[in-house]
Amino acid sequence: MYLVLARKYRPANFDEVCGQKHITDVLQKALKENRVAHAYLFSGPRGTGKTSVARIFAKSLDCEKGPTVKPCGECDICRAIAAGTSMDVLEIDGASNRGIDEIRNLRENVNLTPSKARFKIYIIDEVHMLTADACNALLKTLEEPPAYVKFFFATTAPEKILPTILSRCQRFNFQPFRMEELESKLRDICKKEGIQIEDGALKQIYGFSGGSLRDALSILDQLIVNADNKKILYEDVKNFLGLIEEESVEEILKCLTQKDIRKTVSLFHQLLAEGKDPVLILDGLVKKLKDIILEKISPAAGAVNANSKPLPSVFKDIDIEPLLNAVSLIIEYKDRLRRENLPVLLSEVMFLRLSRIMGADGEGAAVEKKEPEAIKEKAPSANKVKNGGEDIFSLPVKTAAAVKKKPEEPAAPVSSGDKNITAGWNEVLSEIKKTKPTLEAALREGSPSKSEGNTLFISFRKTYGFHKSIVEKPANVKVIEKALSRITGSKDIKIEFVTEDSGESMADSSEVKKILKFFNGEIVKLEE
Amino acid sequence: MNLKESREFLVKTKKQGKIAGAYIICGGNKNQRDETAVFLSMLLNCRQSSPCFECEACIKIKKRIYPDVKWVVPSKSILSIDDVRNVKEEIYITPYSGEKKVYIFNVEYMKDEAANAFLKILEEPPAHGVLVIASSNISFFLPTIVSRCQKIRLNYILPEHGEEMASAGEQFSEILTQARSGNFFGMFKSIDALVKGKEREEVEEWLGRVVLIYRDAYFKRKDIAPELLIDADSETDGLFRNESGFEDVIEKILELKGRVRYNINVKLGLDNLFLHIAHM
Repeated sequence: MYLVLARKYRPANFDEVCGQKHITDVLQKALKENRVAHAYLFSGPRGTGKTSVARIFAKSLDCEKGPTVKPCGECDICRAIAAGTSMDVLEIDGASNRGIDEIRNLRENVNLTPSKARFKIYIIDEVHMLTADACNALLKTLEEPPAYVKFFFATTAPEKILPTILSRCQRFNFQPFRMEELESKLRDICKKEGIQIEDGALKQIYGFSGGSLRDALSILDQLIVNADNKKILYEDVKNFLGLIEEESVEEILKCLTQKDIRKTVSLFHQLLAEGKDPVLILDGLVKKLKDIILEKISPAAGAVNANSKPLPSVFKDIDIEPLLNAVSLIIEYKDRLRRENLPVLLSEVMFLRLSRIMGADGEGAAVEKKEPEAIKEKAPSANKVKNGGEDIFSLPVKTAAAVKKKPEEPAAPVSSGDKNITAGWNEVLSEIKKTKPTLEAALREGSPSKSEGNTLFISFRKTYGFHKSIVEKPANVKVIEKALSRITGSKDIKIEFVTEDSGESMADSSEVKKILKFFNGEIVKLEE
Repeated sequence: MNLKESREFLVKTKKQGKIAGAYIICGGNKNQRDETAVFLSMLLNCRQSSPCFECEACIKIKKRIYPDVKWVVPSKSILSIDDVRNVKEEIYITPYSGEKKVYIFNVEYMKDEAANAFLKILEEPPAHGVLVIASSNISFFLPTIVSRCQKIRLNYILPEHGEEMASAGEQFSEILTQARSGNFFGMFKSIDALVKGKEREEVEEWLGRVVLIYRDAYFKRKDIAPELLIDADSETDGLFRNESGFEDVIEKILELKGRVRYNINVKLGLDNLFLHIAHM
């Protein structure tokens, strides 16, 4: 039967463990000086050797010739442990045996002396999945187990473990592998498998594995199957992993700045047809945008990038602001892609939005010539961009209309900074909605009427006194001011609430006039 | 990889005797993923070096009645810990007739407990066991799960056009017309009829289709290459009044689609959606 590389080359003694010197050294010393504690916790990201080290440590303790730092691997006990059939080294899957009943069972068995070996060792993997009850039931045993019992815990999420468990264990943190460690290990394994591999290929594998040996080996496994003549080239890796070429990313960005949706979408689909992952495409976009922004801010910093080419002229004319917005938009969508089962569609929507952000730079005329049928679409979009990113959240039509109307009202001379406040009102609302939806609902009935100095006046119509009273609570005022300063960037903005005069007295209203005319009467007294 | 490449890759794997114990098939559309999973099961159980599609095993696998190829299709496509426990108990029993026992998981999401319980068996299944996870998006799963599997990434594509898609489009535009013309009574009634007797995930699928049709309609206006459309022929012009709100509508539908799975009132959600679109 075939074993995947990760299992085939699972280390059998401390010398074979890749990296993690800070852990293996301490454990070996403990063995030599006979200072082995009764409970250990191995934590760290996936594929860094937690379970392997736990097994090796168990072997070292129980080996017939031990306790030794070099388990022989040949005695009955060592072999039984390696095969997972030992009666005394029990490997328990903490995620499937997570209840209190399983732990009670364990506690009963703890009192039985080991059948053959020196120590009875419990290796509990994925220990973070034990229920709180189970953990608490384990505490007493864990603190003072019989002399012949050892506990080894392994987990990827130590933060989920009760502090009372943590404090009873010696804890070791496994680190993700560094590039050199992983590369030399991979090269080693390739040699044993009789495979030639290029250095560039190794680098790519490392970059993709995120420092996890198991990930790297599982990629290598598949590459070996695919390799012709037992040779793995850089090109193979690139194709297999679907890495994105810089040129294609640049091409997409260019189309976006020209607002050429048609070409953008077809380029995107072309990449998909080549087997690229949407998430990776987004990664590539962010990386390229970062380079462009860097180069814009300081050409010297951009040049640090070894293979940087001169910036294409298309990007020279764009401000940094829209580029930064584009980056944050892409990152937002990348996060959403992880939860979406229509990733292609979601990416397309993102590209539409991106073209609005990036293409907003006065290139309208050039584009309109190219795409006359798109004029209709252009007008509202340009409008939106002016309103300061209002289109990020869809808002009820009513407020949008209200905001546009209000700034026209006679107001005190408004400085340019204050204009932002009224224009970005919707943004402020949605910011507040995130923290306090009820407040947002009340505040929505008001609208910013004018601003004087640092004070923003928000007016409510007479009939909305209830909403005004909610908003006026000091705690709520604080929330609003905080949101305002976050959106506008300026620190001390005050807000004040006013009740809007209806502007026209009752006598002026058309209904009253009609009635007056009909009855040919006159107004004696006005009463609300 | 496209379908052909993935098959070639699997055949190569078998030739070299390097079939792993765990695979993730992701990307593509559902048919492609299922097909790949079926192909892999045939490959493991057929006596030829690549599936003959003729022997008893191949035919039975295709019909999904082969005793050693089990499909785990949990409700709502969410894998629960009990599913995993069942598999764990069964998988150690040696296969009845074939060489390998294959478990195919058609899941979109794993609960935390299930995923963690899955880890051990995924890393070290018995020699005769092969676990295959088929899912639209590899990012749905914990990195610890993904790292234990060989990955078969099918090219990302849009779902195919089908009858269901067309009928969803008709229903959608009908309700939308009612909403726009102010016939709210009719609209509520149609939505009631639409939701009645449907499971949440059916509504979710329905919304998934609608959103694609909406996309199609918009792209057609934007003159995007017809081969990128799901259905280039259908008449969808009526869906738009103005184009400016396109993204918002799509986002609204996607948002609702994401929430239907959870505990929202489906009917109210749909009511809200249509009212919103009608006012755009």
